[in-house]
Amino acid sequence: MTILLKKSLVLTSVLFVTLFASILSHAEIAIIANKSSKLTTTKIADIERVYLGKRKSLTGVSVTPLNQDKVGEMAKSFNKIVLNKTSKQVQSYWSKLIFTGKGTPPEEFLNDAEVINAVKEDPNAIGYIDAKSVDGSIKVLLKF
Amino acid sequence: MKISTTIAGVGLALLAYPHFTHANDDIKVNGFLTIGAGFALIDDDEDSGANSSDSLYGSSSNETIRSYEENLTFHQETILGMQVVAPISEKLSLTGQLVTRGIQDYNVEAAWAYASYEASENLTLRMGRFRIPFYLYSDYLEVGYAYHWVSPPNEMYVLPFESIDGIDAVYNMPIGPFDATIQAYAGSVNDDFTNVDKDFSILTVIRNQVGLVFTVEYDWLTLRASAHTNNSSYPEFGDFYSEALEPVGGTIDGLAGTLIGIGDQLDSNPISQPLSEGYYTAAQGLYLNEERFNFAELGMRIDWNNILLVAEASELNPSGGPVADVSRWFASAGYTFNDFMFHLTYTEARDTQSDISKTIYDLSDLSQELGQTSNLLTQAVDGVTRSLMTTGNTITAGIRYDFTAGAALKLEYSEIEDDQEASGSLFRITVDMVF
Repeated sequence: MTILLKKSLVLTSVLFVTLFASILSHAEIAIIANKSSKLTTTKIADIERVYLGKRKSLTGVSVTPLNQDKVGEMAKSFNKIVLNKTSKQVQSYWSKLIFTGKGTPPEEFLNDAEVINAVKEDPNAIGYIDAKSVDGSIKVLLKF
Repeated sequence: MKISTTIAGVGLALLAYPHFTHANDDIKVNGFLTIGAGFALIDDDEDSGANSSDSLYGSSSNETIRSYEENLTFHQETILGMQVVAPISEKLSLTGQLVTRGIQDYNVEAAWAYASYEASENLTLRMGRFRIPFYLYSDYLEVGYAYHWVSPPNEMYVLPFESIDGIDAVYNMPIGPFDATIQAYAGSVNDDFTNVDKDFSILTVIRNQVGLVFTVEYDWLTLRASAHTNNSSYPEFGDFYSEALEPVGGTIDGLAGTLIGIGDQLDSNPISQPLSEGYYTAAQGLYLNEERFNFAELGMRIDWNNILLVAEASELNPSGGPVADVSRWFASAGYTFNDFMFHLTYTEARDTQSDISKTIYDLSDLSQELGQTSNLLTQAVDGVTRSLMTTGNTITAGIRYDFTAGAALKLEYSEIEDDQEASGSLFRITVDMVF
């Protein structure tokens, strides 16, 4: 009885700590670009502007931002940290611009692998992926 | 409309040649849909503006508030819009938007049809038919999903001609943490002016409209100021008929004719001759014929954490004619909790009635009969100018529920006080979607 209680207690606390830890932290996000890109680094404030359609270049270099699936975890983290908006707020933001022809939201890709492929194919593309997915085929501009 | 049709035609022709389009830039199609229902409870008391004998709209204004009846109806808010953006080259694209509205009997109209050219990173030029940027919410007035109300405050969003055929330039200037935008446009349009408050429609001819819009955004704060001017005409206003005008011929033409007739009568006698001028002036003042209209607007929006505060004020000054000096403002506050937003809005209309009747001099010194006539004419002209103004206010409380991505449910209650038309309450429910 005591042993069972102890085990369940340990299990619960481990579960609790893991849950707690995952709420507090987020997967490290990497902003990536094509290897041939003239960009070497960037700032969150600039990425925010590009992803909200307010700018189309970084330090004079033309960029095409790529999104991830808006209902996925990566997009949620990115929207929260970089854009300071919930997914619903992002959609509301774009619905104001789309129907005036003042802008279109970045194209969406399903996951890290697809973003990497798209970035490899377009010299102007930039995207965000889980830092763990970074490989040698693309360049990392920023991690946070 | 001719210009836009040509552009659209050229664009479509270009689209037929695949080598003009980039593989990466496909044609994008987006749409928005609002389905709504509502009903009104109309105050029956004697103070109601609609019951006053001055009202030009007779029975209809007793039975509707903002075109809502005391029965449940579904067409007033229902709107479907489809937009196609076709990139022609890296800098040039064509945008077309078709809209159909329940309140206009589901006529399909081209709300937008323009070519857009990115002259530089910061400068975009457009030519064709586009929305006139009068107000904060002008750009996406019909996209219910983009704002918290069922519709932006009716008293405020009162200028009826929404789209214009012309050219415009939008210049973005990032200045440190601020984003400033200047928009300048020019154009003209013929449109059927639908006044929802007063439930009528009239052809409006706008010429030589130019405007300037200045917007500054900083994180959670947006400030906006705009100024516009044009020449407006109501070429068919003379035909406007109302039962209230029956004593003077029934139409505006009839009223003007009667004024001129009296003017002629006064003119034929050297004693009364000086009084005739005022009658001719009043007759002319009834018509809107290339009057200069000036419009100015100030707006502010705070979007901070879960709190939303929006306020806007506008002034419309016609240089003459029967339309009032229109003065409107509103303030709205909203709080978001999870997927729910609760909001409260106060809107006020403080128009100044057009004073064209002031030159209809009282003739009771000349004879009792003429005195009665001058009174009748003054009342009739005041009735006309009164029908082209609004004083009153509205308090609105509502809830918006984002039940899924791209769709929202809205419930709204408004308490409306209108000194010229019917007062009462309005209940509305809508579902707004974007796709």
